[in-house]
Amino acid sequence: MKPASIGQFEQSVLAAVLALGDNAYGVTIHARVEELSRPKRVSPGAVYATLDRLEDKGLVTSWLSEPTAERGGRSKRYYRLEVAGEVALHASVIAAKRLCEAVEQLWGADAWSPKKWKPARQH
Amino acid sequence: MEPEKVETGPPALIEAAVRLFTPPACREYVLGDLCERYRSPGQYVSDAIRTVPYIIVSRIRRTSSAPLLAFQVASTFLTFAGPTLIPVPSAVAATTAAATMLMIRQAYRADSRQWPKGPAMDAFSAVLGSIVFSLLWQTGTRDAVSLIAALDSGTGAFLLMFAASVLWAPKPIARPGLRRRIVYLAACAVWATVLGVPASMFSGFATGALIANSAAAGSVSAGSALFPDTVVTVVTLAPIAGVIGAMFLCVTRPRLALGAFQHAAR
Repeated sequence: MKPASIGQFEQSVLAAVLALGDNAYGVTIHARVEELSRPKRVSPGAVYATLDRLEDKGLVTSWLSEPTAERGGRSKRYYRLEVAGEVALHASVIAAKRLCEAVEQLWGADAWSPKKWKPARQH
Repeated sequence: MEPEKVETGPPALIEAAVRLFTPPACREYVLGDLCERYRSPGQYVSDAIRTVPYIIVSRIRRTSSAPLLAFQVASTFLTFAGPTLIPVPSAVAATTAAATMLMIRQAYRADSRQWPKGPAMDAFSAVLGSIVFSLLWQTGTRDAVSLIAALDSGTGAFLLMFAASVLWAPKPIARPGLRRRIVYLAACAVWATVLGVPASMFSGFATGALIANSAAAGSVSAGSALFPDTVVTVVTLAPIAGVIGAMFLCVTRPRLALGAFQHAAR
């Protein structure tokens, strides 16, 4: 199966859906994506729009749950990663790993420590 | 002593305002998620502002159909630029406003198809969009006056209603056989005629535009049934739309058409 091409934000959303398993819906996905994107803030709307796009690409599927009282009697829309989504995420993670290895060769082990790391030109 | 009531949800008025702007297809779970995140009215409003615009844009992207939009834009442009003789830049501006309104309405449309309320509301939205835009445009040009006059005369409203009514044509058939395709083509032709004739009676001098619209509407409907793949539909319909547009231009604006031919010949 040829993996679908995904962007960095789509990668974060897919990773969040994968990590949350059966509990992946708007609120939890947004919280996890924000955690993955720290220190950048993520708007909830961007997560919904990305989930729509991923659903159109066939990488995730969604369904409405039964209404719950804690949400004013409203349903949750749950998301699940499809096989194509997992393949796409795997391919993009492999590419990201290659990128990490390339910069680590240049910056050394300090690359992963925000306090120790400095731009190469300041070395 | 009675225990103090703890506020657990957003204020009803604010929630009603957010509900109004959220497209119906996403309302249930988006409002539920916003309610679950609720901590204070300020935080709720801030979350809603950071959510709803994205949802609207995403709905527009998901509900827009390229062939349908192309047809709506073409027929609306012909409505403004053809029979009412409004200069092309003003017609382009009014068409853009009408097409934007139609796209937004499509994003807010509930699943149920109600005839004739649906197309009437489509036409109303498109006309309203054009008028509001024209009023703003008026500060820069006098063309807006003639545009509003044209819309007011009913010509624009009928043509826009006709353009919008493509959505309400017989539904495309999934995997049609030859016999069903023929029946569908016939249904589209009848549909286009039934709508086109009364509209042309009302709009008088815009008959040419209506004939072009009828032909294009039938082509779009038939094209989407015969070629369900959008790309194929666009490829098939683009030359048809081009020919119809050129014929219409020759009839309504012969000087402009002649000029275009002369320019091309050079």
